[in-house]
Amino acid sequence: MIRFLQNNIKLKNRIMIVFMFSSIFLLAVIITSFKAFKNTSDEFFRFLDFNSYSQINIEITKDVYKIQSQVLIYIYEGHKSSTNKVDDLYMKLLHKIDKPYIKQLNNKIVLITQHLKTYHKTFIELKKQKSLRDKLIVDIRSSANSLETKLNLYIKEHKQNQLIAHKLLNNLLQIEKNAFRYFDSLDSNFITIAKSSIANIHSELNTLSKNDNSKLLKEINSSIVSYEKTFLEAVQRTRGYLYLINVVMAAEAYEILYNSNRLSEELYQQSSIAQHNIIELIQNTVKSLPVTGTIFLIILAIVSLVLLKSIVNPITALTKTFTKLAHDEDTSIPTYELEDELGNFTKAATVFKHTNAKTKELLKKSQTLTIELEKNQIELTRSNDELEQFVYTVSHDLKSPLVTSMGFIGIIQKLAADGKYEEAIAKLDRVVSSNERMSQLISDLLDLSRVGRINFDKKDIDLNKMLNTLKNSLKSRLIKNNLQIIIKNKLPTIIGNESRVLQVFENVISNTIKYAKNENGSLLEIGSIEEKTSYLIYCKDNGDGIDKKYHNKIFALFYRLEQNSDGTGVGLAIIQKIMKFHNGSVWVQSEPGSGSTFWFRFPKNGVTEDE
Amino acid sequence: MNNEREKTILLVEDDDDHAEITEFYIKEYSPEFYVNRLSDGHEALNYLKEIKKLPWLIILDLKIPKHDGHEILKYLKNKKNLKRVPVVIFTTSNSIQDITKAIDAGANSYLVKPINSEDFLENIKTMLSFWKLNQHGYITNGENI
Repeated sequence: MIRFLQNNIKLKNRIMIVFMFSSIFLLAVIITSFKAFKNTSDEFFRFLDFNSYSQINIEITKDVYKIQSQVLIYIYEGHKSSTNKVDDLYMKLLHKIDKPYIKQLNNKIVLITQHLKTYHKTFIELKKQKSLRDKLIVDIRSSANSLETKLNLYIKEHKQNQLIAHKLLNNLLQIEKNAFRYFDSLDSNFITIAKSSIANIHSELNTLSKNDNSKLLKEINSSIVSYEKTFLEAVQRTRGYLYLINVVMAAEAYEILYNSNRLSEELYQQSSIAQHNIIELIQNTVKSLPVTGTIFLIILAIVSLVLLKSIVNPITALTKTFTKLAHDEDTSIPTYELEDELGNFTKAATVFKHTNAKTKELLKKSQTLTIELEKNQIELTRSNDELEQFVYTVSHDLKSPLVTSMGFIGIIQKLAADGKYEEAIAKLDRVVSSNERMSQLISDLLDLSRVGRINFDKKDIDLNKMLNTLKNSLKSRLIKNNLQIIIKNKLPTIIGNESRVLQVFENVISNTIKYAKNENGSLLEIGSIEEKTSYLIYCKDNGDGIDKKYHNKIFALFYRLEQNSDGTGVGLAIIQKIMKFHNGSVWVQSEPGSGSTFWFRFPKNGVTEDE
Repeated sequence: MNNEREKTILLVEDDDDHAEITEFYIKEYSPEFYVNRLSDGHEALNYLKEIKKLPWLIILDLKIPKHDGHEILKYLKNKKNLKRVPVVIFTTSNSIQDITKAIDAGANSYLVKPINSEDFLENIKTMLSFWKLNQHGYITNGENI
């Protein structure tokens, strides 16, 4: 589920899925609750039904008694209205209990209906029996009447048997009387009495027939037999329908009442069960609803949380990433392999990062370029300044002899105009020397420019050999200027351009001659010291020395410590430039009064100077 | 009121030849001027610090050793008693920086070497007349012309 929620499904769809899932779950809870409620309500209505029909036995009992009493009334009174009432009541009761849903509630009602129907059938049978008997009773009357008439006739004809005949008649009346009593009261004692009367009649008839053999008597005899037969039949019928009432119908009534009682009991029991069920259902609902509700809420919360996490976590991470990217901090892109909107965000972050990195790189490049440009600009400005300074210096120093020569020419013109020719001619020397000086300056400057301009080859130079040769070639000049050159130790072989290196030492010797004069004889001591990566050559003179504050200035172009010396102030500048082209350096070590030492450093490999 | 010999012109110039030429022309113009030559910045400053009598004119080269001409000019124009003395810058430099710097510092004239004698003397005369006016109180040099 979590993977499902976090993978490959668009955010929109993910939210939809969770929403649908929640809805389905909620629907399930609602349906369950509704079912529980429906069950409870069904059970409640059943309970109500049971409750209402549990009282049915009372009505049935009441109606059965009513019918029974009407039946009895009918039996005793024989009114047709009673039978109508019975039928009426029967129909009503039948209608009352013949309802399908009562049948559904309890099948006892079917039994009751059957019994009731049997009861009614029996009642119809009873009516038949009774009408038959009533007919028999009419027959009994009529036969009794004819018998009476016959007997009275017999008494008239047979005076001798008058007494017995009277007795016989009397008995006959007795029978009749008791028979009707019986029919009326249905007391079987009367039957017994009537039967004894019949027995008496039979014996009296027997007595009569001994002395009489008349036809009338025979007729009487046969009438009595048929009378007795009818009587017995009537009794039989009466007993029959009494049986129907007292046994069959009573039993049916009993069955009805019994079953209706049972029905009531059962309905009551069922209603109790229904009640119990309702209580149970309610309790279950009360118990289960919070549980299912809670479970639903928990599941919903979990799903929501998972969804939330699946959305919020990447968003938080991406927000962090974007913030960091925006602040140009280094950060890794979260590795969500998502196909959804957040995935697109991640891609955006990657693009953003790449763009950032590119921008950064470009910025860095541009910064580097700017720095380089600034550097170059500074360098250019410096070199421009240098050039300007150089031009300034050159123009001043080149102009200087020109000014002198022009000035003296002006003076000469003036003197000539005034006729002071000798004075004018004397001044011409000044013009000449000034021009010579200018020429010297120009050639020195050309020398200097050549150092930088002309590319020169480097090769091994045996300084020992070079300096000894130089010493020899300058011999006459050295003697003239009273300068002695001493080479202290065996000088090394260096890498350099021969003519330039020679120029360095020529300039040094020339400078010594010009500026380091010693009254007691000038001396130039040349030696070398080997260092790890370079050779140091020193040239030590015994001149006046140079004040420390001029140690750097002396290498500047046209700088002269003594303004009116022969020098042009270019020599040391040339030396410095040559040393620079050899990747080496030159410096001076000096104290006023104790001579000066010029140091030259040549890198051993001719390429880099390692100090 | 002034002794002829006391008409001093101060010449600050390191080049002997240039000094000689300048002196020649001044003497040509008026032999009554005495040219006091100082050959470097150090010498010039020392002289100016203990000056007792003001010169009529100061001719100053800019390119001199040990303190350049600008420094001397600055000193001159910042010193109460000296700033009224006209200063003529006389130098080989015709760079705009030098000219601007000198004029800003209070130089009264700027002449570029080489120059013909007529132009030079014309300027010197003008400067000297400045001094005369100044002596009579018509001109205060520097800020209040």
